Amino acid sequence: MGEVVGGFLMPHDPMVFTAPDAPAPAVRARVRAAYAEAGRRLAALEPTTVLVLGTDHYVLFGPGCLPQLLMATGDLDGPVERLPGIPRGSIPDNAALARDLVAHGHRGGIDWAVAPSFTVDHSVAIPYTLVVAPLGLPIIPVYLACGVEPLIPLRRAAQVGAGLRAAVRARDDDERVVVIGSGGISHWVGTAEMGRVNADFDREVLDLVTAGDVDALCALSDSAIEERAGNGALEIRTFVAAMSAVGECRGDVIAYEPVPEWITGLGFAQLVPAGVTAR
Amino acid sequence: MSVAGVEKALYDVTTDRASRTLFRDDPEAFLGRYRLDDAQRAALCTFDVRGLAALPANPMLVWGFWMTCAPDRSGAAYLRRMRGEGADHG
Repeated sequence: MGEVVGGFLMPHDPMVFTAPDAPAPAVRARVRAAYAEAGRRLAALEPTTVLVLGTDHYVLFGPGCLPQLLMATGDLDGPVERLPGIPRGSIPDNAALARDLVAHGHRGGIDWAVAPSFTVDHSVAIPYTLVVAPLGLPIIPVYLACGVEPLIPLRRAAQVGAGLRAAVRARDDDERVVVIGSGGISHWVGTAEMGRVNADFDREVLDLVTAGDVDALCALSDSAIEERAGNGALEIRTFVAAMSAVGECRGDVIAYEPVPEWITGLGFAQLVPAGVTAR
Repeated sequence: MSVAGVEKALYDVTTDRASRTLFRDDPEAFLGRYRLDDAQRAALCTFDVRGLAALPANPMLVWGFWMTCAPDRSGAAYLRRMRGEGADHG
């Protein structure tokens, strides 16, 4: 039987690459150390494939087509943006597993859009580059509509995560899947408040992650999230989906850094399945 | 006119180099492709990001538009304009 052996939540802030020297050296070092620690813990889970749950920023998908949820099911490359330190190139995939996850979803009421050839954006490329690529593992990018209306509802994101878990567990092989929920916590993207960070909100979110309380996260209204933590914080949909994909779990916060210079509250956590001890 | 035409124009010029070149060379002619009213066309031509965001166009698109097309593509200038501050407020 396939298994979701764990998960992680981490940011995908492009300014880590486009403005690397903006924060104080100690802040930069702690953020880099958090990515490295996530990578160390991910390796300890001995996964065979990593699902990276990201979100478009109105770059990959345009007004001609705005999918609620999309899975890349074939050739991968990226990132689509020019990010210093991340050259665009091919990315290892697990297309067979991706197609199986999609088919399982379609049979069970999750209407995946698919991309048989796909160029990822920074929301997938940054976690991949900093955490997954050093391990040489294949990824499956999943995109949830977090930044462009109509957004995928939080509870639907949870259903999608649970559907991914069911699809992995329905396999008759020994696939070991780790899920990464990729997103910042508070950040205002392109609005007049850009640069503001709400550490109180961020810590509330991380407390709910620590408790494994998906229901409480899903109970947050989009208007309240946006007012308190900016349009970027709507990305916690990826957190909810990742937690649901892991199943009953608790969060182990690896690091939290409020970084106005990078316009984001950066939270890192491991999602540990119930009954398992973090390594 | 809806905001859809504005977002279509913003998306095209931020993601497609050929569209960006046409916009830079002759913005009025380029924007003739889109369903825009006069105020929307003017907001695009003058990089009135505050006005575009008020439509409301998606702020990620508006920021991307500024960072790829505006004469001064700095984040600081964007925020001044977005907040209606300074001499460059249009």
